[in-house]
Amino acid sequence: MRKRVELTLASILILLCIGLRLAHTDNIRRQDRAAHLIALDGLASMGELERPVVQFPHGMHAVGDDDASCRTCHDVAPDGEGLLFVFKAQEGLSREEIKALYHDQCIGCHADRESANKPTGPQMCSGCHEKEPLKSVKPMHPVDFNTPLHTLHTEKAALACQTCHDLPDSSAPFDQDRSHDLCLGCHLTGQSNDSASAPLDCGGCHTSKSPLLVLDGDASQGGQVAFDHELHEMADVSCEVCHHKEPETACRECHTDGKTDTDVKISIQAAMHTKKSERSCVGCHEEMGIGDVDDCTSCHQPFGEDAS
Amino acid sequence: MYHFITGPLLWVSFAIFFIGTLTHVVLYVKNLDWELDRVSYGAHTLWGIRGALRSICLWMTPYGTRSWRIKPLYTFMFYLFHVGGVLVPLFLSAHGVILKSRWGISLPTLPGFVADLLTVGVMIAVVGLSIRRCIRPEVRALTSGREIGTLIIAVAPFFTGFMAYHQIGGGNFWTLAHILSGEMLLVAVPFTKLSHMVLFFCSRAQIGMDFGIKRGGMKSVGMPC
Amino acid sequence: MPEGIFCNKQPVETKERLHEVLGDKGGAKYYKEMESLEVDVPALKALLKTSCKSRLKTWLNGCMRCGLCADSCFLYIANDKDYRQVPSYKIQTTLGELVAKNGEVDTKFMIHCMDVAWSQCTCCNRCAIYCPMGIDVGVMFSYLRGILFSQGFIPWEMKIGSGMHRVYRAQMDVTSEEWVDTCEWMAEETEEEWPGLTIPVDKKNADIIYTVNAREPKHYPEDLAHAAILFHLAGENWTVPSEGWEETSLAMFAGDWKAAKMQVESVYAAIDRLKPKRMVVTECGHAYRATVTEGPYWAGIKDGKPPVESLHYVEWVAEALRTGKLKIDPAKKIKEPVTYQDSCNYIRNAGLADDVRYIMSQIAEDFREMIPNREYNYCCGGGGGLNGIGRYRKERNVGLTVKRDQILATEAKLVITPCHNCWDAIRDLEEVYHIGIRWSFLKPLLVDMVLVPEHLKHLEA
Repeated sequence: MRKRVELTLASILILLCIGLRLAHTDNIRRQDRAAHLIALDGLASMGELERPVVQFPHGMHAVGDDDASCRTCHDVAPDGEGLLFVFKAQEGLSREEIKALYHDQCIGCHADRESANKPTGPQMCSGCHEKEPLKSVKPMHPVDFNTPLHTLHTEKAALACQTCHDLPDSSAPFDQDRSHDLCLGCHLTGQSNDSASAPLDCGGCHTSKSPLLVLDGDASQGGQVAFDHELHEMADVSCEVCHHKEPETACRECHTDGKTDTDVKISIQAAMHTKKSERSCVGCHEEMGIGDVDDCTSCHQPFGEDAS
Repeated sequence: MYHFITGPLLWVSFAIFFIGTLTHVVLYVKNLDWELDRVSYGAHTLWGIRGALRSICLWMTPYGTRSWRIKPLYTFMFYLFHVGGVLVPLFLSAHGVILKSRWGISLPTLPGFVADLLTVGVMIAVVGLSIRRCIRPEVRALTSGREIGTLIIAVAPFFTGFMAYHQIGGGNFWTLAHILSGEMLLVAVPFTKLSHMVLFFCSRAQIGMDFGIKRGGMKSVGMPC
Repeated sequence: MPEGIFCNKQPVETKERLHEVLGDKGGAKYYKEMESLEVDVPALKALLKTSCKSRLKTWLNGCMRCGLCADSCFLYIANDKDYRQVPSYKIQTTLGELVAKNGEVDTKFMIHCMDVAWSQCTCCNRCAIYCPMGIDVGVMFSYLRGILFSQGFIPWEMKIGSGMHRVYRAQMDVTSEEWVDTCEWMAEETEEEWPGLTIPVDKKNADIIYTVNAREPKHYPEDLAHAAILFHLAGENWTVPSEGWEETSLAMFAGDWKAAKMQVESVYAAIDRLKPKRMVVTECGHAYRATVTEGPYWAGIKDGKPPVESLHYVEWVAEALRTGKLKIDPAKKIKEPVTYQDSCNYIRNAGLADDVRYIMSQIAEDFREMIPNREYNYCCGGGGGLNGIGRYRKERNVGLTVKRDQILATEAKLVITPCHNCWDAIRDLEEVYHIGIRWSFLKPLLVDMVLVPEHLKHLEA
């Protein structure tokens, strides 16, 4: 027996590893984490990094979970207004200390949550220090700060111009740091905790679609229409009512402008305004008794209130 | 899984390792017998300590003894294996992170590329030593499953650690395999030839005392090894 | 349990038994009987239990099988690097097996162990200084010899040798009377040439008690005369004991620890009786090892040192030359190339290499070191009793080739061998291989070389 102990243990070890390999699946699929990544590469300025940069999935952390509040990772700004958008308490720390801080805080929290049977993150090196870049860590979608969104800020949130457009410095670009500081700081301290109207998660602003669809038509015929698509979905209007052809087909592919294209059967103006069809905005609103269809400005309102 | 193998399993492994190796040392010293061994350990203690330290130091110095010098290639592989084998597990920065978070102990750490080089060194040395075992008739005749098993158990944590560090094919799998093989190594030490981790020092100290007290150490500068 | 008439587990303890065993020429019947000598397994187990402790177990189990010991063994080199001659292999397949099986072994295995223990290891301990783990295969083979002795599996000559010690307290049948007669005879012979020379027997409180190898009184009495002349010239106050004069220990080679203890105790008793200041041991390596290095442990002396400070003959010569008690006539220094055979037992295992180098620097003009030398020197090829065992003559002669080549490489024709075993081996080497060398102890060379003080000059005829 004693003669074989080394080889026996070695065989067990190999079998164990093979078993582990067969049984092992990474709990979190990579694509789930692909969105909203922040590269934690602050140490890069203090010397070469030894491990791959952590691509931190902020969205997975800021989920409004019971005890994972923003303050878990972020300190309050010195002026008491809003938060600092760097990881907390690393001011003036050395490279090693910052490394230790991240490890303590991240792994510690992940471990605590595992013990508490809560959804948690990796605790092993390669779980966070992933070698293969998942994808560009820049947000995929730039913030489309369009007119209706602007209106939302000026009218509903009633922000003064100077809140964002600091006069002496109005030419300063809204780069990542400045806009994060400005927008998120305000969203955090703002009266509204309704994340739909003042989002705190990345996807809230960096979205592929603006919450308000701008139907801009011909400005000379009236102002743009800020169409709240979501509201119409909620109102139980089925897709086919408006998208009566293929869903991808835009209105203007068939309904051209009646003034320049006189051959058109139903011009865009008619398609939107005729009372004869329930497919048109006015027809449908009339039918359902919603809004004052005779008041152009209830839809065409350049600086109007939102559709609700 | 991770929770278990870095929690209870790790504690059990360390417990077996420390208790086992300590038992080896205690039993070794306790069972030394001046009459059977024909070395008067107790009577010439200072000469004994001198001989023991001399012997341990000379043998731990690369090319410090004639035996090392006449086999330069073997000695190179030997040190490549043992220097990496000892330094990397103790001073790897990732191990430092765990050590700090679990026990609050902070050890100096090796730069990542140094640890990486040493690990590659360990693996190259194991390959080299294995080849030597196969091709040299005098070593082949001495090789049994015990030696091969010892080499596998010893190199497994380095190989899996290397794979995990470079994330070749599933970093998480290799990390788990690495932890498991490291624990296997710890557990194996007291029960296998890996016990030479402590018994080397016991055995060398003993023969050093033998040389130092009995075989000429008191009449000359001492055995050159 | 059947035992043979010649080959059995009982050590030889009487003259009659000794003659009986000696009568079996070459041990022909002895070895025949051995083939049916049964192993006493319970006794073997009990012996292992009490004597195989941490050091031996660690050596057996802790061998990492690196094979670094291979090239350290002259028998491995001499046998064309046969893996069966690797020290680790030799001990693992014998003692290692025995311990692993906890003594459950058969006669055939024990005979194999005997053959390996006496023909494949001379206990020169050279491998010990090449092993990273500090494993001394020589010590282990010595231990194995003890086990084999307890079971009766020892070469015929070893059985006789240990019996000699038990009966005569000497490796040969030399009684105290014969020894004292020889001393008187040599004193008379020498006195003619060296007036005033005596060989004082049993003189109390002398500065030096001189002890010898029984071969000297038995076969080379002039060696005793030479010793007397040199002591005389050096003006030493010396003596020889009438009892306890034998330093050697074939019992050590045989693994008969009881007889080894009896033997050294006879010497220590002489020291106690005569209260000399120091002891000088003749030019014999294993004698020094047995009586000075190992003996105290057999005798149970806790500090591991003999009762009085003990010098090998080379130590005394070096001291006499350093202090000027002996002076070499520069004109008589050895002019031809000369080399010196480092004896394992007092060079590697007792640290006397420097003394010998000093002597050589004083007596030789063209001293050629063998390579390797000092602690690293190879065994002469006949150590550990191998010289004397007929059964292994062939193996011994193969082993001699390493020493032969070492000597040839020095191009010296004279080899100084202050060790009986080395002296024998090198003599046999010349007989077998005819390389045209001469060999000599130090004493005859010194006697011809030393300057005689004015007051001791002998009268011209």
